[in-house]
Amino acid sequence: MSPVLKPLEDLRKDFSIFSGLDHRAPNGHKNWKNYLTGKSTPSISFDQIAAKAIGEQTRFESLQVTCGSFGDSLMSFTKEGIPLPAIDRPSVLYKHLFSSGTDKARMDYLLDSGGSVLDLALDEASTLQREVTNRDAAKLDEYFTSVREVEKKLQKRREWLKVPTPKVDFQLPEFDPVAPDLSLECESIMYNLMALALETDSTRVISFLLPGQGQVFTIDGEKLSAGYHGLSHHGNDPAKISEFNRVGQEHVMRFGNFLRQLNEKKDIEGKPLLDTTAVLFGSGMGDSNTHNNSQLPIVLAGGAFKHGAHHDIDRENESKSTPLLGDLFLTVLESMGLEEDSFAKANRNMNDYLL
Amino acid sequence: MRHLLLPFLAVHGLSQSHAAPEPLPDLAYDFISEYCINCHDDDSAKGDMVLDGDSINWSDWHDAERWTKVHAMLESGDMPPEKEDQPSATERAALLDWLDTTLTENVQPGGTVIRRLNRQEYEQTVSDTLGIPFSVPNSFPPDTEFHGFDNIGEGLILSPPLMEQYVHLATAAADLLLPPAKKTKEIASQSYPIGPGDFTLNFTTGHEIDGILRMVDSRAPLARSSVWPNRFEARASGIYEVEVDLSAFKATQGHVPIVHLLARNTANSAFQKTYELKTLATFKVDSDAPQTFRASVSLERGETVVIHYENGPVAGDQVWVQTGQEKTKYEAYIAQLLLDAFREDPALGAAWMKVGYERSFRGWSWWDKIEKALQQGDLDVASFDPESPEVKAFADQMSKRGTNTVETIDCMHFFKGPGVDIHQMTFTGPTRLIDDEATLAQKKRTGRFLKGRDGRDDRSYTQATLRPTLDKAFRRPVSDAQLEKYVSIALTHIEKGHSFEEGLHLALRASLCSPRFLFREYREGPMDTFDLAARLSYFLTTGPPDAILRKHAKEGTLNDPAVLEAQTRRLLQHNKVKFFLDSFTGQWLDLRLLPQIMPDTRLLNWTEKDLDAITAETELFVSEILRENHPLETFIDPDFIYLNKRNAKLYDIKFANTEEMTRVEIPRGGLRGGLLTQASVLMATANGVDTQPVLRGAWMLENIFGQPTPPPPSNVPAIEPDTTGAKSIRELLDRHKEDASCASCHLRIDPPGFALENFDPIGRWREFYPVYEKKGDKIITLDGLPVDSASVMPDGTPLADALDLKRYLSENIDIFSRCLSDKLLTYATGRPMNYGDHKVIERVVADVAAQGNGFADLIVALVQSESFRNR
Repeated sequence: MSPVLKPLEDLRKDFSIFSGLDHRAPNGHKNWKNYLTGKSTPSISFDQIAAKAIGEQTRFESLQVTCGSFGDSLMSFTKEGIPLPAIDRPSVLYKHLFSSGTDKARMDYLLDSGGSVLDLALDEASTLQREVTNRDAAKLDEYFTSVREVEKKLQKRREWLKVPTPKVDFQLPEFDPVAPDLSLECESIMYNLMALALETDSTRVISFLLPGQGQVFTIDGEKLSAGYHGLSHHGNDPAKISEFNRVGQEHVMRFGNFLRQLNEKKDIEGKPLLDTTAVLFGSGMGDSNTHNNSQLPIVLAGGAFKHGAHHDIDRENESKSTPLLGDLFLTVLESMGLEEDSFAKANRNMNDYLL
Repeated sequence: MRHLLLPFLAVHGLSQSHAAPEPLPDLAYDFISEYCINCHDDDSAKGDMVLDGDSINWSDWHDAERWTKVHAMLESGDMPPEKEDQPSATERAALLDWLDTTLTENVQPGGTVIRRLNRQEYEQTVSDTLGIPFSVPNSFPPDTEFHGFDNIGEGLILSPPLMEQYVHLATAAADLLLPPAKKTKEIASQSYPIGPGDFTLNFTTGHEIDGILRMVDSRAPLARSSVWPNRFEARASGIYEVEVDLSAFKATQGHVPIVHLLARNTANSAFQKTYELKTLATFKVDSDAPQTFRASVSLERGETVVIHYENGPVAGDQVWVQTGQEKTKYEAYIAQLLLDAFREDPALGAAWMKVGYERSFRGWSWWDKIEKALQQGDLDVASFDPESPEVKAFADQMSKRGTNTVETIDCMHFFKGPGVDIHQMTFTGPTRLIDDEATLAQKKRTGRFLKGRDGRDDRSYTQATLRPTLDKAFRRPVSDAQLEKYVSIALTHIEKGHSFEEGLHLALRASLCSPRFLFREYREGPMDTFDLAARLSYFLTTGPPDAILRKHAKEGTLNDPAVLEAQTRRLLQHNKVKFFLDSFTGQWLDLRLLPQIMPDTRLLNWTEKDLDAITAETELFVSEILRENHPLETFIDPDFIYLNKRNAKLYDIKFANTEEMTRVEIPRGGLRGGLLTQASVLMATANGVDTQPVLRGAWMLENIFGQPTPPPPSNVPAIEPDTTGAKSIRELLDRHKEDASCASCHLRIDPPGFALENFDPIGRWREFYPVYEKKGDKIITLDGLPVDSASVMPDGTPLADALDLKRYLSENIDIFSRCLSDKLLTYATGRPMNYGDHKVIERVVADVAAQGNGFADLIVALVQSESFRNR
């Protein structure tokens, strides 16, 4: 097992490693974003496909989380290709999930008064429709349909307001560690909150982006010699690679702690949370040094799949049956009860590897 | 169910003048029976065209569209298909004549479907109507394009996710005008001690040593020079007491380090420049023993304090970046820093040169190697001569590595000095709370909106406050009945125990969700001055009518042609016309597609700056033609061009080494200059890797010639360019000539496409197609087959190359004028042009051509025309 994954040693039977998977999608600086979409043109991401299918059942259809504000830290997209904003501060995520009191009161007020706003809007539209031509009336129909849909959504949110937010035993730090150099600290806190979010069934779909930009990390009291981005463009300098991997290990360590929490917690049906949660850990870049997006590093944990192995997909002797990363996504989606035929260029699955 | 809704009301065309359908005359009926009905009866319905009726119902727009298409197909000769029986020239002419007469009589210019505000228009309308700084979030859905533009009534859909945004943003907008009552929280003053290890560092902005944090770099980007506390940001906007213990490090020869404290929002980019931030305090660090410097600073919530060393030993980029001379002067500066250091310490010079460099050497990793070389001691210091050409060349080489070298120079100065040492920093506060800038601005806005109650009761005060806002929101005076609905919703809310402001807030939310706010151009009949004012304003500024236009609308004067012209010209010179130019040009010429096209790296090292240059060239070009009212011929064959070093390189034109776009005069009739040979257009009509003459030709027909072609039949595969050079693209496309069903369209598509084949996918001139070969791990480009750009226009005019194409269009400029007019009117009226509109365009083009053919004049004439004034 790669030394970077050392912190996961004791969890070996709970995860699978994949080498050689990717989307056969364009390389290049900006194209790491196709990690969850499989394509470079705007399209729905893997997590949002799941969210659309199962999101109805929880207070939040999905959560997007990151550590600190780095601009352009967005990897989840709607079906129209619109990036979903991510929560970047622990205090904000905590409030979002577990708030009560004044914020709830305002939310309730807006939803309640929203009813009369939409009533008046529909009233105006009815009057208007009597004044316009046939062709315009047909277009106005879109307005009626949309307003009624929004009414339903608001109603649902009001119902959720009545459901008390879960009580959790969690101590937020006094200060949000959002400064770039503290992003590893922020990461730990976010993982804790995400575990609680899953445990309380606040949501069943989360995407978490770990920023890798200019941060100069301090690990074990030692400041690294360069910013993360500089380390990622190591030019094969062994000293830089070594520091780069130390950061990698720090991420893996925190990921391991997250898995351990899921192992200990139970979901709302009393089953071990890790068994009922599929966790994908990876990157949209195969070789950051050259901005190459093929052969991505992928770890899949949980979800009651068959784990413990390292699947090294042969790319030298590629054939029609060589799986793509999208095939892995399809297996995960299938295990959640969805029936998707394809994901970007993938149209089979990896059930043989994982079931 | 609150309301009974009848989605399809049988509203008969109130404004249409014909009641009964027009029966087909014998000549038409006979023609169709003989030449059309076999394929176009109800059963076969080829191409979805059914012609087996015996009358035309002009009140049904479907009929109007159908017969317009029949006319177009017959006129171009596309129908009947070549292999079928053909009418004689006389028969065809007779039918076309009849069709022209009846279409001209019955298809009135007009037909816009109710138009939803698009994203840009919505954002500007909310901002202008409420007088607030409002913008839509990234998650706001994009608009659908239709007929090439994102503001066409039929194409703009209102979906549930969009409506959800409207509802949510209505609250956000109302909050900016009437914010919810905030309980003033008591925020106790706290002390925050910050030690040398508690600062955010980037690259080599700071060095922790001997219990202090040392700074030596003075550059402008924060991430290159500055430090700020890891764990302090203002929890509330207020006054904070700052104490910093600073000392000077090895400040020789009277150097007095100057330190600035700057305010920075923690959410902003670390690459902000120091000069973009507010300076909070200035300290003169005139001792090498630590002194405590104090300042009282005002910080907004979420801000922290940056420490910047203003006059340190490593600096220099601000001025040069701002004046665009960055590279050469900055490199000279870096080389000088190195040489000065080598002069002072030849051993350092010898060590540095011995270590040399690899690609990945920068900052500390490089400095550590140099220090090691110094310590090892086996350096030939004696023969090291900083004035020698070898050392100078080395310094030059290192200077080209830019920031990688500067970081290591920083490391050197951390030991050599001068520097500023930070011992301790403490914040105490907030000692007093203050309104941040946003709050101050909001209070002013709210004051303007609410004005004084003056003893009025709730009802009259609400009416007086809401009426002017609703007049603006609905872009026409609100009727008493309508106003009453909004007053009611406010008063009912107040009766339930809410505050007066909350009542108004609710009414505002409702108004921003009303279809009368979100839609425009829906009133039946001819457009009144209010509709006209709105249409003109959204056309030329993508925003709602301003106070002057609103006044003319209210007084009815906008109907006066002289006033309409004056207002049009006023808007054309207004600074908001940039919104029109950006939106119209970006869509008409597909500039908006350019960022998505990734040029083949074998062609060129393409960067964002190249993209910016070619986009700016076209934008500046079109903007000048409008502003100066140049004749339309200028679009095709101008006597000026906008260049900077980047597009000049693409065009093989010698030019100064500057990024600044410069206007340059050129002789007419040359290769460059004009839309046809601009890199932006040539890039948008290729795919970054290959050119496809059919795509370019079709694009030219659509956007320059105004003769759009239908898509190819579904059984035609795309041509894969044969990159082994064996078959020329012309040979591959020769099928067009052989097959009659292909020829009809390709006779028109191919000529402009081939004429432009001398331009590669990024607009550079070429005589040969490239062939790529792998030599080791490099790829080299060889000349393949020669480019053959000769073609013949459908009217028989031969074109040898792009210059001939340019000449052809210049000499037949009306072709382009009609196309541009079509595009402008489609964009302005939010609908595709119908038969009647095309007649209007012909007339306008002729009129404008007779009066100098100016671009601004064309727009004025189009605004005056029935096409613009009718809905």
